[in-house]
This record gives sequence, structure tokens and C-alpha cells, in this order.
Amino acid sequence: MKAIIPFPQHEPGLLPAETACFLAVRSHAAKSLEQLQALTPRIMQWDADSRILDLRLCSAFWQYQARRQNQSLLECLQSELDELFAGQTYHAAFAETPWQAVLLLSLLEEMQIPGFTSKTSRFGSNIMRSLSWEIWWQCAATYAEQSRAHKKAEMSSFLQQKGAMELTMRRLGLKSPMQHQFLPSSQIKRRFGSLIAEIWEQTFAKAESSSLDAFPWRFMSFCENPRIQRHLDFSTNDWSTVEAYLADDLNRLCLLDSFKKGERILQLEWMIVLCNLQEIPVSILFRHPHSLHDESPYQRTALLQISYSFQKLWQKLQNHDELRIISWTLEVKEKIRPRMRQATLFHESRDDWHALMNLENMLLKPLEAYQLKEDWVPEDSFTISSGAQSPSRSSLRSLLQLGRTRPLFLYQTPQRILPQSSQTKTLWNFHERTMEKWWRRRGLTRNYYQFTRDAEMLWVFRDTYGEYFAQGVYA
Amino acid sequence: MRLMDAIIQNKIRYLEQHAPPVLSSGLPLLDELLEGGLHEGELSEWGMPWGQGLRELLLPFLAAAQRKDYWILWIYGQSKICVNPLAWKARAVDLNRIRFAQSEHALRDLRPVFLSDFFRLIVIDQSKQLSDEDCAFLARQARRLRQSILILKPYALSHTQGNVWARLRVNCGQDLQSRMFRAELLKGRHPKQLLFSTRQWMESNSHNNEF
Repeated sequence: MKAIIPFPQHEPGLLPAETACFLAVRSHAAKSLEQLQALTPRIMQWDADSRILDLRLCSAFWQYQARRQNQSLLECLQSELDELFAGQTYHAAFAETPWQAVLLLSLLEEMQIPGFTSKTSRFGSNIMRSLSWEIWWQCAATYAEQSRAHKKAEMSSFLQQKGAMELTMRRLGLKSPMQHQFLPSSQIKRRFGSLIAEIWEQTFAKAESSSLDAFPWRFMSFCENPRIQRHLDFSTNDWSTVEAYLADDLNRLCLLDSFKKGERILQLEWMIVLCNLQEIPVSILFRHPHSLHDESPYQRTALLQISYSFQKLWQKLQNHDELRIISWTLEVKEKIRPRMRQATLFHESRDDWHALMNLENMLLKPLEAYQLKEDWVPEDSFTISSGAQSPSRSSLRSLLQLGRTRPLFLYQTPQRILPQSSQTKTLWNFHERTMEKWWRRRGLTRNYYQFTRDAEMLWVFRDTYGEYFAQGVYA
Repeated sequence: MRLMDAIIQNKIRYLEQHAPPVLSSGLPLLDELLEGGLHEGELSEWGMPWGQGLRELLLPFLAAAQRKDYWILWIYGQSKICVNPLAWKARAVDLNRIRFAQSEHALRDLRPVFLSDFFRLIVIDQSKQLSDEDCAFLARQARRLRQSILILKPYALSHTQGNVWARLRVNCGQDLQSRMFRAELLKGRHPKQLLFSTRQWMESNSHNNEF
């Protein structure tokens, strides 16, 4: 019986460089380290001279910056760091997980390779392969210290387990952690404890792995979050009433000493108190860093985003009339601090990209932008636009010739069809043959046809097993 | 009579000078149908049943708009589908100056784009039923911001009833057996019908192909 191999749900994938969102930086230039806040508000002090940056919150913004400057994301970040450190020596590692960024950083320092290196590059991945037990244990000790601060681990038991694992690895002749990534973390946990298993798992985790949540994050707090509180003399659930007061509160936020003109917010928290004293936190995220000062006094963008959250919240509360707001606190949770030199990040040019970012900040739904990849498989032929390298000229010509016969829209998951069951006349027009990636679905070939039946034209392929799937529609 | 002639000539000159700019596709087939092309500042309605390859007829307008450095927004209401960028690029659409959005309620989810002149050509493809008020809003904004807003419906438009706010209404269809396209103007230009084959379309569109 032929097995039907399910298709994974298609999401327009990110290129490997764009799945990386964590930067580890080491330098003796303390002042420059402080200025890393210009890249993201989420910074953790790993040790005295090292910082780990979580760029997830503003990854969309950095991709835009890269496209604006006609650079790849990596080039953009590298130029930012070069400007921040202004000739001083630094080591920076960019990776898909924070722990891998830390490991790569240590390797770069040991090999005395200054500057910016990405684990997703060939150079970076080769360096990672040379990871030794010594460096792994050095970093793991720091990890354990950070976890201890989280009250997750006792150092003495960690040291004991470390000794046991070192001995085991030596006896087994295992020369490097990277050669043995298939050792299951459950077995490591059984023998050497949960902390070492956690560190082991993080060493080989992918970007989308849930083990990222286990990383002992402790973000630095540079100053008190700007906060405004409001108590109403009446209770209300009417948006127009709330909106007027919120606009006033947003303007009052701009006047606080803890919120400087030029700072950009990424996240607001609106803590609502209802008449039954129930507190409900509402998180308001901005796709790109947003300036409240620039939009004073109308605060259109912020009010739009808050209104979307308000409507969603009221739907969730099932529009109960008796649930009315009596007070709230508006707090800036995440903001980016500007650099003194405004060469690139906050250069206030009013070009199309700036206008597009401002517009995107106002929208409930995101706008999709795509770029091509050098790949013949239809679902892999594109990615979310990020300024990464486009296909070469010679490949592009072939790709476009192929694209001419392909439909404008694809189904997210190819749908199995039974073409023989149709009562009406059908037409088949062969278009192309392609091969799937052997490591994904065992090297199946696909013969693509334009399949016309009834009143629609579908883009259908027949796989090696003779099954038919509709992958696109000629809209 | 000479005075009358002079008044008429002046009027014609005034109308020509103040006529809305026309977005020509560059394809004789389409431009002949629309007597020049799409007018900027115009709300248009298109009857385009899904799955008949009809949206390709609009892509030359998108490409032409992008050559004028306009930004395009295509809002598609269907769920469980995604855009195939390679196919769009192959049909001469510049991926750098187009954005897509999936939304069944374009005006609710993306209202700020209609209040801004950033996107000069907006296509609303199969959004949920737009009310009269919504259409009036779109027509007003298109006129004010000189946008071209195209509403695509997944069915043939009625000859007798329809969107009073749309200045242009066109029905498109394709006989999938004989591979003949049909385009019928219902409102906005002189009524006419155009029939052309897929081959004629391909030949007409060949200069727009990227390769």
C-alpha cells in the first residue's frame, strides 16, 4: 500500500541568516558596550565584558534597515557594530540561539578573530565545528552561574555532574561536543542532571526550538520604565471616551524625565483595572521602533494600536456591559535608546522606507514582502524579503522562464485531488518536472501540469507514487 | 456661433488639461478596451471569477505603475493560500515595490493604507461584502489621494445593479475549453466587448516578460 507522505504546512521560510536573532558581543570598551542599546532594548550581561543581545523584538526593523541600505542583514549589523566600536577591538557572534552565540563568541576570542562573525556563514559554522570541551565547559560554568542567579541550580551539584561527564567523555574518547550532537539530551539528563542536559540541548537547538525558553535570560534594566497612571472619576467601556484620556496620557509620558526625546518605543503595556478590581495587562507591540514624541499631540499610531487591542480584549470579555474600566497604568516596557551619532539608525530621512515603516506601525495586519531564492522547488523559491542575496543573473533568467507558467497563488499545503473523478472534460497541459529535496521527502519527482476542470485551472503535480496534488491555482 | 465654438473649445481644452492622469498598461489590447488605461483617482470594479487566470490581465497595470515609482498593495481575501512571488516577478512585477496582505476585511484591518497616499494602486481581491458606505469612502479617498483602487469580485458583475461609486466596471472571463478571454465594459467608458485568445494575450504581453 502506497504511503501518503504528508506535506508540512508551508510558511514562507526565512533564509538561514534571517532566522538568527541573537548577538553575543565582547569588548573591553565599556562605553561602547553601553551603546549597544541602540540595537535592541533586550540586553543581558553575560560577564563583565560580554553582552548577549536579543534582536527578535526588532528583527523586522533591522531587515528594513538592511533593505534600505541595499545590504544583507549581516552586513547591516556588522556596519552598525563597526560604527559603535569605532576602531576599538571587539568580538561579535551572531547565531540562531543565544547559547550558540555565546559558544561562538568564546571560540572567536580564543582564535583571536576580531570583528563580526555569523554562525550561519560557512566561516562561522566551520569555527563552531572546532568547539572543544574546554571552551564548552568554561561557557557552561557561566551558564550555571546565571542559572543559579535564577535559582535553578546549585553550583556544587553542577560541579559534581560536570566532573562525572568529563570523565565519561574522556573514557569514551569523545574529542568534541560537536561530533556527538546525536547523543539524546534525555540520556544526558539521566546520567548528569537536568542542568547539563539543558545546556547540551541548547548547543544543538534550532531557531524555532522550544528549548530557547529555558535560557536564563536576565535583561539589563538601564533606567526606570516611564509610567503614567490614571484614575477615572467614572467607569466606562466606551472607546471614544478612553481614547481622549489615553492621548493625554501618551503626551504626558513624553514629558517624563525617564523618557527622552528621540527614544523609540517597541512595546507598551496598558494595565487596565475594571470595576470589579480585576487587572488585565494589555500588551501593545509596534512592528518598528516608534517615536511618541514625533506624533505628539495626536498620537495617532499608538492610539490605533491600542484600539485594536481594546477591541480584541472586549470581544474576549464577551462585551459584558457591566465590565467597565475605572483606572489604568500605561508603561513603556521596551524602548531603544538612540546613539549620540545618528549616522544610520535614527537618521531621520523621509524616504519611502521610513513612510512604509510608519504606515506598518498603524496596521492591524502585517504587510507581506517577498524576494526570490535560487531554488526550483516552488515552495522554496521565495522567502520573506530581508535584503539577503538575490539569485544570480544566470539563475534568475531560468527561474523567470519557469515562473512564467506557474500560477500567481499557491496553496499553503498541496491538496490531494482525484482527477479521474471529475465528470466533465478535463485538460492536462504538461509544464515542468522537478525533484524534491531528498532529505525532506525521499527524492520524489513531481510532474507539473496545468489542470483544467469545470470552471477552474489548477496547478497540479503527479508524484513518483502516482498521487495527484493541487499546489496552486491560476487566479 | 463663433462665440459658442470658442466656449466649447475652451471647455475641451480645460477638460484635457485637468483630465486625470491615465495609467496605461502598454498593451494595445487592454488600453484599447479602457480607452487609454486606468484613470488615477478612480475606483473600479472587476468581475473576475477565481481560478480562470484572469488576474493576469491586471499585472501589466501594476508593472506600469511601478515604472512610475508607485507602490502597489494587493489585498487578498482568500485564506489557506499564499502568493507565489516567482510567478509575479516573471510577469514583470517588481517585488521590491509591491506589498501583499491577507485580509477578508480590508477596510477594518488596513484602514490606514486608504488614508495615506503611499500606495498609489491598491487591489482589493475578494474582500468580504463592502457596504455602500465603504465604497463611498474608497471612491472619496481614491479621488482625494489620486489612488487607483480596484475591487475584484469572484463573480460576473450585474449589468443592471452594481456599485454606484465605481467609475469603471468591467466583467472578465475565460472560456477554459477554447482558451478565449472575454472582457466586457459595463460602465465608465464606451460599452464594448473584447475577445482575444490566450495566444494573442501572450504575444501582446511578450515585452512585459522578464526574460
